Amino acid sequence: MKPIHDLSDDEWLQLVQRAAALPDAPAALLRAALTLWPAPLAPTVARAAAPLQLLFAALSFDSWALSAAAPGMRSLPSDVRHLLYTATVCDIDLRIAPVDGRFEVAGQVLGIDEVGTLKLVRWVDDPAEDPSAALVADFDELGEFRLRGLSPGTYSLTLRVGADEIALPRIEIALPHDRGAL
Amino acid sequence: MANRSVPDDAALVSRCLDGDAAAWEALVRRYQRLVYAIALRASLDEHAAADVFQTTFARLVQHLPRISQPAKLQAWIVTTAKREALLLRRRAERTVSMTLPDGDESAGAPEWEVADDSPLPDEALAELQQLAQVRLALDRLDERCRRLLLELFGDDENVAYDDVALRLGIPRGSIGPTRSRCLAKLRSSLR
Repeated sequence: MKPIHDLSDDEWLQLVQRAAALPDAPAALLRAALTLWPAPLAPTVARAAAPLQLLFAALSFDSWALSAAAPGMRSLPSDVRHLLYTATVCDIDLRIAPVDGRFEVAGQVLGIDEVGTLKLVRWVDDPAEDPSAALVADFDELGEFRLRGLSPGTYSLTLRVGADEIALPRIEIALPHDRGAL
Repeated sequence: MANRSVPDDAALVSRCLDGDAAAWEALVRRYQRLVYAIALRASLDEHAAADVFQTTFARLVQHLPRISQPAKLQAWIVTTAKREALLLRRRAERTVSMTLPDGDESAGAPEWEVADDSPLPDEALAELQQLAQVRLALDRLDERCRRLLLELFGDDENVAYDDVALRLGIPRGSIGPTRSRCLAKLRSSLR
């Protein structure tokens, strides 16, 4: 897509024609959106002093679960696992992919537009085993994050955004054929 | 947008946080076309598009107090609308009817649309944002230019100059030159 100032006169004309034809949302939708306006919002400064709120996210989509249940499958599920979690304040979109013998977890926190951090801790059943140090990453204004170099295992993932701490159910990081073996 | 009379997103967010309902209305009007266009671009039906629209603005009003970089508001809105659209698409694909149309015994497979893996690629979203930006600039032109360009380029692609001249009460011969001046004015407003 060209920047506007690089367009020829004809291209600019076509762009304006298409922009002029861009439809408005139906009036009923517009009215409904306008009525969403609440009572005056609490100032940000006041919210900063709010106590930490612990929230739990629920799994709403798992690409491996879908693949396993689908009848007539001819092949194994994709190596890339797509998970979607829903919490009261946001959704969390996760993609787990094998990369060079290890795993990468990438994703996006949706519905929140402020930066935050996430912490991934490997779950260890055997108390004699030394748990891995927590991996911590930031997510940006668009909620995107990425963690690389993970070994297979079961992990707990928590996110911290403002005064909210969001805990996800334990996540198994493995290849499809190793699933359940951990 | 180089227009001193138009508050930017940061100013509108700030006014919203002060409880200014008019600022909320301005934000909704500023982004309504873009959000609706994203939903339509995801090939959702009008009911699903309405859900995307409502959910996106509901999330926006809920998260206004958390916005730390209002300059990125448009990116947040686009990301949220895209996410909601894709979620609804995915749900629709999972619940699609396998029933054949009545009387259609010849077809060998159920009639459903093959899922598009990337209904909202970044390029398409960028294009929609550019269109919405131009449309907003068009809305902010003086009335004479705005009406002329919308008459010429609106819903009816084959509009006749005679009809436009009649509706706007201007000589037919002035339409061409005025159109050129208005297009140039619109373009310069986006620099």
